[in-house]
Amino acid sequence: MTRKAPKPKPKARRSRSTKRSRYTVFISHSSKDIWIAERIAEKIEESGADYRLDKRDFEGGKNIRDEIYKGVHESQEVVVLLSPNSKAAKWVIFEVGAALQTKRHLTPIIYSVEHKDEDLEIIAGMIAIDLNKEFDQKYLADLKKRIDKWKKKRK
Amino acid sequence: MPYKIFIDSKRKDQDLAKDLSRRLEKAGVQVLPLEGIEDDSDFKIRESSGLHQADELILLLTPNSINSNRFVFDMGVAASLEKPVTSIILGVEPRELSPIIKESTRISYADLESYISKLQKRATGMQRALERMKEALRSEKFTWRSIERLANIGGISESEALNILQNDPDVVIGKGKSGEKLAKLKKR
Repeated sequence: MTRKAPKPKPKARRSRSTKRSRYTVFISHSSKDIWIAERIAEKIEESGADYRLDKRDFEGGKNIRDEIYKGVHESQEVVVLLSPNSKAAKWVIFEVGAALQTKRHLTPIIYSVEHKDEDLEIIAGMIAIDLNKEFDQKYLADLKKRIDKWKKKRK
Repeated sequence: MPYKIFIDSKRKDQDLAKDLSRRLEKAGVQVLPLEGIEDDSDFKIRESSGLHQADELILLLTPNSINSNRFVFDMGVAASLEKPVTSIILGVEPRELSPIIKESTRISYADLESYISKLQKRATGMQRALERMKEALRSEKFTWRSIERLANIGGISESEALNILQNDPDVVIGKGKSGEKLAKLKKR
């Protein structure tokens, strides 16, 4: 006897990949760059997306791996703010690995650092956005397109 | 189906990696082919790589590899695949490790035998869980069953259940209407 796939019972479901109702951008940054990250978040929200700010300072106590895992999996795309405060941090490399594996759209945003900086080898083959030059015209314009596409797909 | 391990090691530590590999294999654990990292800036996702097929990632941490960015990148990939990460440490002080590496399970090379013994137990537990889940999949009542339910039956986590089921040649993984992961036997 062949049956169709059983429908899940909503109350019993426990999923780690809880889907948000809005397109969500995971913004990862050093705690020292909180002011810049918040400005990025405001702009992202004005474009119609939700955001999740994720500061990294490693003062201890938190499970970095789980936080990054959750943040990446529960968002539709990832933004990593690379500045003099974060460019050499190992969590950036970890985060890029996690985001690439999940095939999330990943945008490195560079601020006061050069794309060619030797500490930024991890983004060598990627298109990075210079916060002061291309963020509004390029990143936000493309983000709106991705949000529209995502909404259409969900209908 | 044996428990599979992928070892991240630097090319300079290949003798050590071979010794680790030999001891793991002696305990019945399958070690995926050693690749030996030379280019530490190679950050590509290769779905055919051993890491994707493995049940666990081991980082062989020595003074040659302590600052390896590729190790950290692979940790990110493994976290995303929900695979456990264990660091085997030789000649390195714990305080020298980066915070993210410190979050992996850390084993001193001198304590390898006790780790291998735990690994054997885990492998046996996984094998039993797989048998229980396959038994449940043979039930006439269902064709597809949710990974969540199968994990409960096997007594393991959902990610562990998904990992071992998708590596089993008799099992097919599918998706339900709500996007939840399901499994069934190929022959059904």
